[in-house]
Amino acid sequence: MLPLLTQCGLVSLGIVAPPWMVERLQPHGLELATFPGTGRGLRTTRPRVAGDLLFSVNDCDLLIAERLVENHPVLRAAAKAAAAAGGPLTDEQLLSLYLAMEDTTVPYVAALPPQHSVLSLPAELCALLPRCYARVVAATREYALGLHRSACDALVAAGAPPVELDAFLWAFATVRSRSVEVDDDDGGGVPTHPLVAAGGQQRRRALFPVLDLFNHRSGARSKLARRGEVWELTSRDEYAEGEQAFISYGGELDNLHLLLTYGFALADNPHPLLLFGTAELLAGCAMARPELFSPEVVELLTAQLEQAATLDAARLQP
Amino acid sequence: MVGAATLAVTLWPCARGSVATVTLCRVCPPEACSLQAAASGELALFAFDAAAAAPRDSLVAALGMMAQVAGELGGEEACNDALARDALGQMLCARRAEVEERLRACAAASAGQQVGGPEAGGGGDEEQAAGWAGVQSSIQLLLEAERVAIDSSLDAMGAREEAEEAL
Repeated sequence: MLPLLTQCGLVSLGIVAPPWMVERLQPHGLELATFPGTGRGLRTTRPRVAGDLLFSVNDCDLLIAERLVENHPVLRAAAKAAAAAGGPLTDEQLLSLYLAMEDTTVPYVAALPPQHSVLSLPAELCALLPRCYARVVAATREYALGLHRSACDALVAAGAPPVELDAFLWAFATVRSRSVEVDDDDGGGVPTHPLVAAGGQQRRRALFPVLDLFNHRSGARSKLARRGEVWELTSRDEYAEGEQAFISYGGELDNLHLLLTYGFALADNPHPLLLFGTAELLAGCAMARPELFSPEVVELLTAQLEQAATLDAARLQP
Repeated sequence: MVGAATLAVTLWPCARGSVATVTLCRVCPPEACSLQAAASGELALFAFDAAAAAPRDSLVAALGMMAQVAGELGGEEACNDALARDALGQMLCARRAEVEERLRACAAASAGQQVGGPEAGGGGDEEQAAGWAGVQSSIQLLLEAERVAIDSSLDAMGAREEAEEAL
């Protein structure tokens, strides 16, 4: 049975793709497979030349907050309740709630894999990170917990049951790792519905079923553009038959960014960025000039810089 | 040497004034903004570009601010001018030591000595454990990449300094 399924493209190195997924991949000469180093990804079943169309998604298949609010009664009621309370739900929250609530009824959502994201990072693993990065992870989790609280408040206010924290964190990590920042002519990149606030990065996010199976490679030259009612993914890279096809998730993505958002890091990341926190900056000064940066001075400066950073960052929040 | 109380008086108005506001805006760099947004904006992050072996604007601004503070504290001018370079070297060396320590912990965790072997990550079933093992591998990759980046940066900075002294 296994060889037959493999020939049909249903099994590739142990992965069984659901029929609806195969139906969308096969016309584009793609199949689901696992690859050393990157895990699950998409393999091209035919050679590709630069400029080839890799994949396409009908616009109506996109999951986007504005449409969810229009079409999903519970989400609409929650969004109205949140807006009435003065804190409209963000597109990230709405997409996350949708995934958390529809985890078994929608084929695309049901096929989404478990997330092992930093939002749920066990303490043992967090301790392996540099302290500065561990603080970022902790703050990211706090941020997600806050989104969960306000989302649940909105659901309860709308008369709906709250979603479990674990389900929300899985959904939020899924949205963060799989959503695409949409910059089409309709929305200008920002949510346009009065009941939807911009997410953390002030961009409009959308989930593209199946297209989100492509893995990232730094420097991959892919482009997603809307032509009429279809979103087309083209690539300027060439691929031989049987190779994994890649897209780029963004420009200069350093390893911390990759780990926070997508849960992986690259050994040969061409954007090696080291990030330091206030404590490391002041410790460096103290080691360089101990006669000036005494422990008391460092303590004072730490408090002042952190307060200033908080004030500064508050201006970034939606 | 200025005492802590005097420093508070000296810096406090500055931290809320226009000069400091401009500085702090520069301290908040584009690359950190996305992380700040992800992390609810409670952290200021300063970026060092290892590919260029040079601090990015955010870190340059922060170190410049520390040099001003050193001036407030009564440091000698030549010393204050060199603070940025010296502090940066200390920061990189401290991170290098921290990365080494974490890599040793990773090795121990992989061997099941400290983090509980198959239970590492708190996963219940095999799929969970495999998922967290993947995250641990990613963390190890991040650490190894940082070690390489720091070493090459320190080498490049040393060579640059020698060349400048020779001139």
